[in-house]
Amino acid sequence: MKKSLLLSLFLIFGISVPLILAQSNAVITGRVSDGILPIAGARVIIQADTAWVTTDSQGRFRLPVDRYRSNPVPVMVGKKGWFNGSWRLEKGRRNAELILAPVPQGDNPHYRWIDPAPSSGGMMGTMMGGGSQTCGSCHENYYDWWKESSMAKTTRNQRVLDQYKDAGAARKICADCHAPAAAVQAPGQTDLLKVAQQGGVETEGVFCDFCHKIKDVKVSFKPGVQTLKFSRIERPSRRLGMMSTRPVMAYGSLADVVTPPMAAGFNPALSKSEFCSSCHLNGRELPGKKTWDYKAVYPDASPEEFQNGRIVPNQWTYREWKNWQESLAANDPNKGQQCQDCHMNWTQDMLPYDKYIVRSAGGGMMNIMIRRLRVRRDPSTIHPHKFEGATVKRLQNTAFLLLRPSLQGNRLSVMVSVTNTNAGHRLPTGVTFRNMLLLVQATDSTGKILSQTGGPKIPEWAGKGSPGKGNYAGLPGVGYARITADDHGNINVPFWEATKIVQDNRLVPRKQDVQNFVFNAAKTRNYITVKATLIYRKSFKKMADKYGWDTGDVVMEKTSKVVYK
Amino acid sequence: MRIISIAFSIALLVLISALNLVAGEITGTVTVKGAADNGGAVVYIAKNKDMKFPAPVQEPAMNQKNLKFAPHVLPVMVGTTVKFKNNDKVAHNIFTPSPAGDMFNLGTWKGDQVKTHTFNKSGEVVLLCNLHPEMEGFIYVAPTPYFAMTDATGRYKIENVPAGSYTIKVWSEHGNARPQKVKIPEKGTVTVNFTVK
Repeated sequence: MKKSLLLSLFLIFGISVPLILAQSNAVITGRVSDGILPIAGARVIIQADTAWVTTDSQGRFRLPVDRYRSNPVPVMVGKKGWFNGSWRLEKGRRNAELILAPVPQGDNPHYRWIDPAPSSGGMMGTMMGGGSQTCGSCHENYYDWWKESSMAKTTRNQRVLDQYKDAGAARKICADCHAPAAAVQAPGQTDLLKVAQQGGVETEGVFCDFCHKIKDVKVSFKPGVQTLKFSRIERPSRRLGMMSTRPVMAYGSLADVVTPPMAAGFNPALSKSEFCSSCHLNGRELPGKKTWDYKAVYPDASPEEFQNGRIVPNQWTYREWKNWQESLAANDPNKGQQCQDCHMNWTQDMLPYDKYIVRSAGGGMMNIMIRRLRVRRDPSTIHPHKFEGATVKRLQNTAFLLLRPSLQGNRLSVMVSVTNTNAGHRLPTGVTFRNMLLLVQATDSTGKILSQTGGPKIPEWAGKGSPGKGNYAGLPGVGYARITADDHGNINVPFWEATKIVQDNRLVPRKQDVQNFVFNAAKTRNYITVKATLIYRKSFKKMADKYGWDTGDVVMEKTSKVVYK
Repeated sequence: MRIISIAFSIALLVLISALNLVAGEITGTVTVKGAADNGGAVVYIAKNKDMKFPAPVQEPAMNQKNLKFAPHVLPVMVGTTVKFKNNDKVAHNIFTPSPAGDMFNLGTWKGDQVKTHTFNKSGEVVLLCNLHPEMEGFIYVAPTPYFAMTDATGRYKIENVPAGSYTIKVWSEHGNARPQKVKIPEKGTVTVNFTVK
């Protein structure tokens, strides 16, 4: 009898109580609408969570809530074309009616871009509306990361400006990517040099407000601003307590940020590779009805990629990524990775992880206020705007070298494999003058260099003359590049003059290139040291010499092996 | 039954002491030229035809924290299953381009899940992350159970090596060292020093 009582008690409290707890307050339901009509496909999320639900065709949602979460719950809603909405809802709330405000249609061509640099008034100035509203005043870390990136330097890059002076009529499109905030007024017609010299926010390259005002990107070989649709709008002033605010409309990749004076609009386009394609997909349309034989260089390319040979590729990084992605099986771990996943991700020098999108408030009372307001986030929902691309650190971690020497009598055979391990596009990528050199050298125990008797040699474009001055042509090794040409037999011509590509052996993502070298080991005793070095160059040697640039050599990888006789 | 177990214990004891009697140790220093310190070099006995040893039972862990592999170098014996953990606040995707690691790719994950890979080929396995290119770590798969990793000063010690003649090799991410031949006596210590350059 006692046993059965205990059992009953256990059954009641041991099983049903947790069940009740698990069920109570576990769900919030409701509908998202514009006040009348439902909004389908909206993201409904508890602020700073990493999971969310999406509204159905009736705008309805069912949002599970962790029962340990404090009450009420900050529920946020985002959908492209609408300002993010924010509510505090009681756990277990049923039939909540959440109404979103639309981002106004249209685009204001007279819009004045917001300066990225922190203003002297800090957040106080921004809040009061009297000082200038700048991004860096509150998003301190984002600004610092961006400022050091090449995105901030596109307009004043001396290498770009040097070539600009020589580019003739073709140069009128340069600003479309290099000074897009100015070029948007006159696409294909803007003088980059003039913009670079005049100063002002348009000189800041690709900056915060520019990208966060982009509504849509059309994937096209056309440059930068010619592919973009904007929502350059300002909302009228409104009063918030004692302060007058001028909300700043900004598109972003998060549906769960609503911090006055910002008026954020969720736009998932910012998290997709297509967004980057605006500038990182660009080719030259051949004049007249001319075409080039793309099948000779890219036998697997679809006719659409180069528009049946009408387009000669220049910046083709987006397409290289897309071709790679399409080649992957559905269950491949790399499937679905976007540009932003690698180029807007954490690096060791940024640690400890930041948990706040808003960091600074310019000091004093405002800092105390904002510290109370800001929301702790999971670092995986924060995307550092450092845009590491061909930086030294990144280059040193992108390729993998494997070296296998073997000695048979007087013959030293060396197998070298080079793998593009970490780039989701070809290596090197970018404009046509980027290149990469694999140097292979064998020396005996006295330091004497062994002569090459077989295998590839570095091509002429790596520079003829003294190797001490960076001229490596003729040495044992391989040159990886995309070689442009014109109709007069010239190679390595600038991309704005190229009528074809004649060779492209740059490394495809995750693929290895295997090369075999043979050296004469007849006179060696003791041991032989074999070295392989992979070097990245920003430009071809001839071009660097012409403009007085250094080639920007970066040793990406090196390895050595010793063979004993 | 009891007699059998006592006999077994005695036999085991005799076996262990016999093993101890004919086992020596190898110690020494590895100097790694051009590196911050002399740590992380793996000294191991190369396999010869006569060597036989049981399969490894331990499953050591390779962790990921603060965008780094921890430890930076993990030496294991061939046949070892390594547990891969992510104690970081962000997702990682470990993979290797190295043949000794069968070019595995563990996919992207975050949180408590533990993934494993069994290393059946000896050699260097470089560990990389698809999402954080600067992350680099190493697993060195030694061909025999007789291996040790140097501390920051370069010291190492390989214990319980059966008496015999061997070739000792060194792996380091920083370069190469000349292999050396040694004779291990039935008891005692042999000192072997290396320079990696």
